[in-house]
Amino acid sequence: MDLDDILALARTRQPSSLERARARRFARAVQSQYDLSRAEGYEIIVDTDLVDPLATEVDEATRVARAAQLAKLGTIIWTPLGKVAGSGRLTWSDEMAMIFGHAPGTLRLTLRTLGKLVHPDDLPTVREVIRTVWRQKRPDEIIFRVVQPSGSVRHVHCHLEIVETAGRPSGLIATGEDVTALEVARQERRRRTIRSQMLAADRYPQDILTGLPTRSYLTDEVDRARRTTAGALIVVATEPATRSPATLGDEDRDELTASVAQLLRTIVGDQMTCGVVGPGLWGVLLTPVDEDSDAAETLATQIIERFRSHLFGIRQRTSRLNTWAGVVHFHGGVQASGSDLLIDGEHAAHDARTQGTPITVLDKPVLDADRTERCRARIRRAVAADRFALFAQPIVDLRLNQVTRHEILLRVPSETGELVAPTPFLDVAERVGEILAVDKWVVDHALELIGRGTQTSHYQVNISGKSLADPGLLSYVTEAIHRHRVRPECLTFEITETALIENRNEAMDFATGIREIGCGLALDDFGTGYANLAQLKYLPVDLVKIDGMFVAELRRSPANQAIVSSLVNLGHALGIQVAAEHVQDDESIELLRDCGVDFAQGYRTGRPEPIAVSPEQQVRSIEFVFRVPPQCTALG
Amino acid sequence: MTGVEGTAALTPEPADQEATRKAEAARRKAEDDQQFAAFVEASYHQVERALSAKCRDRGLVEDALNEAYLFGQIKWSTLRDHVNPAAWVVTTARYKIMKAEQSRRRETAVAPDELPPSTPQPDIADVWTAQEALRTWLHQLPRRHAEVFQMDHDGFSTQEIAHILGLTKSSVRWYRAAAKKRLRELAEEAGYTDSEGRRRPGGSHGSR
Repeated sequence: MDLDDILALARTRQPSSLERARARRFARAVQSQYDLSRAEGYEIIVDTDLVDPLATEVDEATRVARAAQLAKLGTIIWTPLGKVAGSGRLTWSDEMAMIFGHAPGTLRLTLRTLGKLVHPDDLPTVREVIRTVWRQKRPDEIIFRVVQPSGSVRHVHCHLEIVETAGRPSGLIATGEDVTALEVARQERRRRTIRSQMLAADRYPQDILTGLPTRSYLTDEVDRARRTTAGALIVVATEPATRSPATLGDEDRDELTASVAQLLRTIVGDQMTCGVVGPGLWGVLLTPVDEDSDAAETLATQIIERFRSHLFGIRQRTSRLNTWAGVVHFHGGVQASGSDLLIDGEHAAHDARTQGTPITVLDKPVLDADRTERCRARIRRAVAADRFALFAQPIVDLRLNQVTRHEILLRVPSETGELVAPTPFLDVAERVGEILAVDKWVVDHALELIGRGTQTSHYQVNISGKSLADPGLLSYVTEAIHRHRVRPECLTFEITETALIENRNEAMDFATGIREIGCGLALDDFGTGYANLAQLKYLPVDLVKIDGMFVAELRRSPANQAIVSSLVNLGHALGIQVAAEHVQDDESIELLRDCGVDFAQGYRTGRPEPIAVSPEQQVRSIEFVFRVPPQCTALG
Repeated sequence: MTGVEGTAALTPEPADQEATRKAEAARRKAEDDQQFAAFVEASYHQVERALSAKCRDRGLVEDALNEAYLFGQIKWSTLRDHVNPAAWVVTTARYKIMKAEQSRRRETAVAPDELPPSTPQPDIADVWTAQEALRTWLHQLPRRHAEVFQMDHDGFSTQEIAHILGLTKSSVRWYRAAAKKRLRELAEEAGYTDSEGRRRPGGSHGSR
C-alpha cells in the first residue's frame, strides 16, 4: 500500500450515518437561529461580501489583491516591462503602504524606493527570494524587516505568488501582513528556551570530586542558620588509617575522598546540609536544635562509628579511616559568623584528635579574640618552622602543545603530616591578616628554588590580593628576585582574588612596579572571585586564568562553553592571554583549543609534583606528560 | 349605505389576499428552508474538512461554520444562484477564522502553527483509518499546502481553490504538488511504500 492507495481509499468514503446526523443537526441549529431572528423581529446583519467567488471575471492579480483586502492583508503587484531585468511596474495596496509606514497614496512605489524601505540587512535575502520565485515560477514565503519613515522597524511576512495571464506567467504578487508581535514573541520564546537550557540545574556549585556543596556554600548556609535559629555544626576530620600514607597515589586518594563523601551523604540523608570543609574535613549543619538536645552529639557519634567501621575499597586494596569530630553549638543571632563557626568546628575536631577522644563539643562559639589568636599562632608557627612545601604543576601552551610554564603551588601539612591543598588554610590566613607572611614565605622559597634551577620554564607564583595592600611587598619581591638571581621575564605573579583587593592604589603600584622589572601579571580564579571587568581595564594584566568551575564541566555544559569562549574573545581583544584551570580530559583540551585558550592546566595535563624534581625537567611535549604516571602525593 | 356595505363587503377581500400572500410566502420559505437544509447536509462535511485543514481549533471552525451558514441562509435567495454555494461558505468562514486568529494573535502572540506533531497512524485497514492517517499527515504540512490538498481531494477544481483561497492558479498547482510530495514522504516514513494493488508484471508501477 502506498500513498495513492491510501488517497483512493479515503476518497471512497461516504459520510457515516452518525456524520449525516451531525450535518442534519447542524442544519437544524442554523435553521432555528434563523427562525428565531425572524420571529423576534431583529435582523442579523450580514457583513460579508455576497459576490460569488467563482463567478468573478477579473484578472488574477486583481482577484488576489481583492481577496487580500477582505482578509485585511496588503499586496504589492509587480508587472515586468519588456525583458529588462530589475525593471517593471510596482503598485501597492493602501493596506501595504500602511504596513510600510506610509499614508495611502503618498508614495509612488518603484523598485528603487522599495529597496530603500526594506531593512538593509534583509535586502539581499529578499532580492534572492524574489528572483528565485520568478525564475522557478513557484510560490514562496519570506519574513523581513521594514524600516518605516519614523525609523521604527516592523517585521513583515509576505507570500509571493506567480500571476498568470492567459496561462502564461505575467508578474508577481506579494500578499503581506505585519507580524512584528508574533516575531517578537517568537524571539522571546527562543531566548527563554536558551536560558533554561543554559541555566545550571544545581542551585549551588558542587565540589567536582565529591558532588557535595563546597566550603563557601556551607559557610553561607551556616551563616544563614546562625542569624535565625539555634543549631549545631559538626566538623568531621578523616584520614586513611594506613601506616604510610605516601603509598596512596593521587587517584587512590580521590577515590577514597569520593567514597567518604558518598557514605557521609548516606548517613545524614538528603535533607541535611553537608559539605566539604577542606581536605579530609567534612561539615554537617543541624538546624534547628534545642538548647538541651544532644541530637548533634548523637549524629556525630553515629558518623564516627560508621566511618571507623566502614571498609573503604580502593582499587584492589581496602582501607579504614581514622575519624574525629568537633561539634559547635550556637544559638540564634550569635555574633560569630559562618566562617568563624567553621573554624571553631575545625579546631574542635583537631582537639579531639590530639586529646585522643572521638568528639569534642563546644557549647558555644569561642571568643573572637581567642579564635583569631589561635589561628594566627598556628600560621606563624608553620611559617617559622618552614612547615610548608612547594609543588609545581605543568601548564601546557595549547598552540605549541608543549609544557612551557609551571605554577608554583603551596602545600600545607595536614594533621598527619600529609601535604594537602592550602585552600582552607589560606582562607583563614586571609581572614586573620596573616596572609602576607605566608605570601612572603612562598615568594622567597619559590624564587630560591627557581634560582637554583636552569630557569628554562616560566613560573607562576601566587600572591593574595590582600597582600598587595602592603607597601613593602614590591621591594621585598624585587630584592628576592635579585638575591636568588632569577630572570624576571621567567616570572608571572598570579593575584588570587579570593579576598577583595584591599587597597586599589597600592595594588596598582605593585602591578605597575612588578611589570617594570619585567615580570608578568595574572589574575587567578577569574570569573568567581572579586576580580571584575574594570580591573582588566586598569590593572596591567598579561594573563587571565579562568576559574576551574567553568572548565571542569566544559564538555557537558554549553553555558560554560559560552562563558569560556567569550572570556577568550574579551581577553584577546584587550591583549590579554587566557588560561584554563582544572582541565580534566582530552575533549576539554580540544574544546579549549577551539575556543582559542592559550594555556591549559589540570590533572589531564599534569598533576602538581614536588618542586625539587619538576622544574628541572625541561620542556616536554604534552604527549610525554600524558604517559607519566602521576606519582606525587597530594591533591591538586 | 351600499357603499358602506360594499366597502364592508369588500374588506374581507384584501384580508384574504393578505392571507394568501402570507401562505404563499410561508410556502416559499418552507421550500427555501428545505432547499437550504439539503444544501447544508450535502456540503457540510466538505466545507468542514477544508476549514479543518486550515485551522486545528475545532471550536473556532464550528463557530465560523455556524456564522457562515447562517448568513448563507439569510441570503439564500442570492446564494442559490452561485456557481457553487459551498465555495462562498468556505470563503466566508475562512475570513471569519482569519479575523479571529488575528485578534487572538494580538492578545497572546502565540503562533498557531507551533503545535506538536500528531502521533503516527497504526495499520491502515479501512476507509476510516485511511482518512484519519491523511488528516494526521496533513497536520504536519504547511497550512496552505494542507488546505489546497484537502480541497483538491474533496473535488474542488484548481480554479475553485484559487478563487476560494485567494491564491493564484499557479500557486495552487505548485502547493498541490508539494503537498503530495511531502505526503508521500510521510507515508513512506510510516512504511507505506509499495503499491501492491497495481503491480503489473514487467511494467512500471509508478504513481498515476
